[in-house]
Amino acid sequence: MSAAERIDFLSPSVRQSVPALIAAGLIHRYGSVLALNDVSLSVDEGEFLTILGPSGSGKTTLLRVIGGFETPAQAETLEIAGVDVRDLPPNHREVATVFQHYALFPHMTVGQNVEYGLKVRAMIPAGRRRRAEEALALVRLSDKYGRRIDQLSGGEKQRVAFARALVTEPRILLLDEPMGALDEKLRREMQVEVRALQRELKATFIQVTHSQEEALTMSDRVAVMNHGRIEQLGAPADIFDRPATRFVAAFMGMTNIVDGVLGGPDGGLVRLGAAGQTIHGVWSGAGHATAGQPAFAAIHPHRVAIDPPDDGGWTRLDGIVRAAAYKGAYTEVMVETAMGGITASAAGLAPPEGSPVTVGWHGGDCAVGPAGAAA
Amino acid sequence: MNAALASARFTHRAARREARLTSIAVGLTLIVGFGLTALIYAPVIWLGILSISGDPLSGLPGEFTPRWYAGLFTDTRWLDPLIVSVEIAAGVSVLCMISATLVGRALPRMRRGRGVLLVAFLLPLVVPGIVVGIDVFTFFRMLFGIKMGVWSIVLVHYLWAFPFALIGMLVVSSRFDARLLEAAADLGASPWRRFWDIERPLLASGVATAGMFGFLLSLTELPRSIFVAARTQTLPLFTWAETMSRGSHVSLIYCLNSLIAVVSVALSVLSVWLLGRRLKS
Amino acid sequence: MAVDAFDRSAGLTRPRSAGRRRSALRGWIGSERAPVHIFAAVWAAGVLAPISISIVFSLLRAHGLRIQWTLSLSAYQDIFESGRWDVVVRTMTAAAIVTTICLAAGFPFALWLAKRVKSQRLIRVVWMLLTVPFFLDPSARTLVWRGVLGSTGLVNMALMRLHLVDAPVEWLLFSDFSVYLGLIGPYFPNMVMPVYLSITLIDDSLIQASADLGATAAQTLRNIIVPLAMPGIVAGVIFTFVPVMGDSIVPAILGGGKKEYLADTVMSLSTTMNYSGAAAFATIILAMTGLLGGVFLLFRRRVLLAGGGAA
Repeated sequence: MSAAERIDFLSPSVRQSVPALIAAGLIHRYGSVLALNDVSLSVDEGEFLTILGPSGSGKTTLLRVIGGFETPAQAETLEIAGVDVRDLPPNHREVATVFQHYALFPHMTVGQNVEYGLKVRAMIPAGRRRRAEEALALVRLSDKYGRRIDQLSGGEKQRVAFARALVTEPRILLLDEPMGALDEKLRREMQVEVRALQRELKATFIQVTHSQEEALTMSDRVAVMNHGRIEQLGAPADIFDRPATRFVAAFMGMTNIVDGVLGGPDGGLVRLGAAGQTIHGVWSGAGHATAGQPAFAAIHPHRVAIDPPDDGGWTRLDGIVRAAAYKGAYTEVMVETAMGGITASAAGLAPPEGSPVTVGWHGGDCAVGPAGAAA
Repeated sequence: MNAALASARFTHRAARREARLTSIAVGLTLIVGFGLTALIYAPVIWLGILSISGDPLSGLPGEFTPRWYAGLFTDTRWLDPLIVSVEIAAGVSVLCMISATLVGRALPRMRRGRGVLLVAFLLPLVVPGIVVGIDVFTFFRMLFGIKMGVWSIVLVHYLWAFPFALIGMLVVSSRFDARLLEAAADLGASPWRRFWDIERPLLASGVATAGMFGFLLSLTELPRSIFVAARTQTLPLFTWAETMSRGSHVSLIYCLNSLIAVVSVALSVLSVWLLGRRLKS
Repeated sequence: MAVDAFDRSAGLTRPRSAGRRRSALRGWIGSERAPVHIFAAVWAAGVLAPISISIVFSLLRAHGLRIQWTLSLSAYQDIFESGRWDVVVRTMTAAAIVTTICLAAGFPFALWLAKRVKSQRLIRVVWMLLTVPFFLDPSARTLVWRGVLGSTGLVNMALMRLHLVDAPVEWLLFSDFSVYLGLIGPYFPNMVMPVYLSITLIDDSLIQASADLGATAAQTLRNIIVPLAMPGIVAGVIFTFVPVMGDSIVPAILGGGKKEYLADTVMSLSTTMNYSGAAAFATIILAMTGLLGGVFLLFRRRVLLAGGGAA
């Protein structure tokens, strides 16, 4: 593809309708560990996708396969902007990576780092310089062109890494735990900034992270990975409130998970029988709900109410307060019920330990999904 | 006096005693440690002093004179061995640079057999020179009938120097972040460009160190050369022969040895300093 | 867990199990490990084979440069019958004494350098002082001891002038003493360096935790530092003992032919072209090295097991 055909990242006028990434049937092993277990994924132009999962889930491997740093054991399809890249090494793929620890070249200045991708493409020095300065301006580092890398702060290094990756006009920008090395405050700022940058450029970003906060606040869609598989792929709100599997529910902080057997539908909700009681919830599983199948119900602590209203839409459970932990904005209350321990986030003062209490939740806040097998 | 106060006093006294003992121990350590280090340097310095003394063989300095050094210009038998030594050292140096770079850059990134290979490459460090000398001689001369010569000197020097060169290289290359190569590949650099733009400049100090180690270790190598030199004479072999013959030229040997010591100290200080400076940044 | 760790160390290497049939050979040729493998093969043939040949060779007879291909233990018998076993014992004793002195002085010195010195500059200076001796001509640095220790040398002159002795002390030169003295200095760095490296690997927090739990400095030393530094200590012993055992220059210059050491014997055997005899002695040296190497591996294993892989 010639330079003229390339789409300038600073003027996103033309976009093809081809997805930025199509991957199907990716399998990869490290020895006996199955790092990617038949992963398929499609990412649209201009989309911000986050691959979320615990360490060892295969998320980094997936990113490296897309970047070309790992050749998967099997891949049915791996296309970037319509080009089959299965046989292409990283230097011939139109993707660029913001590495976890930035991987900035320590013997080059900021400017030389940013220009590197253009230099290897044999661009003339004057043109490179202009483009590098544009890219540095984009990440608000215009005055740092001549700096050495070790003179930069962590946040500045990260911006340079972004500028260096963006200046090559990649079809996809890959972000490998880009906030991992930043402190809490800077991380918050950069989350907003990176999202704004992505919107401004209308570029395709694929990010890997283990932080659910990052995934939820930055992305258009989130893919949750576990044991080499994508367990759920959806909008942040879906992932957060409608987890399709037990793993996703737990990973999203639904500490209250109850196992039971699925009953029939009830209005828009489904019924779940557990410990001799009935819970109402929204079916979140990928497949159809069948009565009698084993299932789980999961609910976020902040959706559990103490002394819930006594009406049909609410599941109510009687219990005894076992413990309360003050958390600042709320108090976390552990209530022992017939279904086991239920954690509730109480806004006001918590009832004293040992006192009887009724907890409950609205059926619409409770996610129900199939037990065991993944989506 | 109550018990708590007494116990606190006891604790303080014990702490003071321990602090005193520690400082005595540290003092002793330094005296002995630097004392043993002085055992290396004192003779070399003494050698230099004697080399400008009237009667070096007496072992006592005095009547300082440059005449032994002037003698180096009249009795120039040392010149040919010196040239041979420098040529061999240059060859060993180049071999060390090439091989240490090839091996040293890849070894830290290898997944299999890294440990075994490292042990194999560093093995000559724990094989005494005399064993290497006799073994290389018997292996090539007796088993295969190949005559000894410059090549065998280069071989034993190289196998003495390579472990050091490799260590010098690994000190640099094991700190090299392989992700930089991925970043360069990701930005579109071909394998050759990745080597030239990223690895070469970052590993340059390791290559230089490998070369310097190779040069110096070859230049001063003696115990291995004795067995495999045949008729070739290197400078250490020349001074060795003169030393052992107890001939009339020993004063000249003092000068030669002093000069060799000065040059090798200067070069090794330079190379170690360069390496240390590189690692600091 | 394991997968991400793999990810980061993987570099640009490609797994052999690549699905689309790329021949393993072609992948190997292009890879950066190929030169290493080729070099290792050359190294094995040109270096490892020769330095292990003496084991074979000591079991053969040779006439001059001609080998007789018959197995024989005569080389080893000769060692005992010609009274050369004394030489082996004397050399081992010397090596043990020198190694012990180097360890006794080197361990505290390395500890001081690793944990007490705060100035990076001082560490670099000391490190350099310990590195330079590797690059000194062994005969150049040894020769001058003759002038210092001889009967008209510096030490004897000083002793006589101070009227501490009436006649020159003869055992100063061409004695076991002079050989030990000549060996201790040059091999001191061999001990300090590995011990230093192993002590720097001990996390300061471990030492602080030990003190925090009430251990005295001595208890911390015995219970924390020494066990964790054990691989370095054993490595230091090997790096000192083995070259001291095989040193040929110092005994020749400072032993003066009066006290014979292993290396003197090997040299004289080879000048008389008794190569299988020389090979037998070389084998004894190698066997000793192998023995110490085994001890090292044992300690490394133990520390690895104890430290749960932390070392």
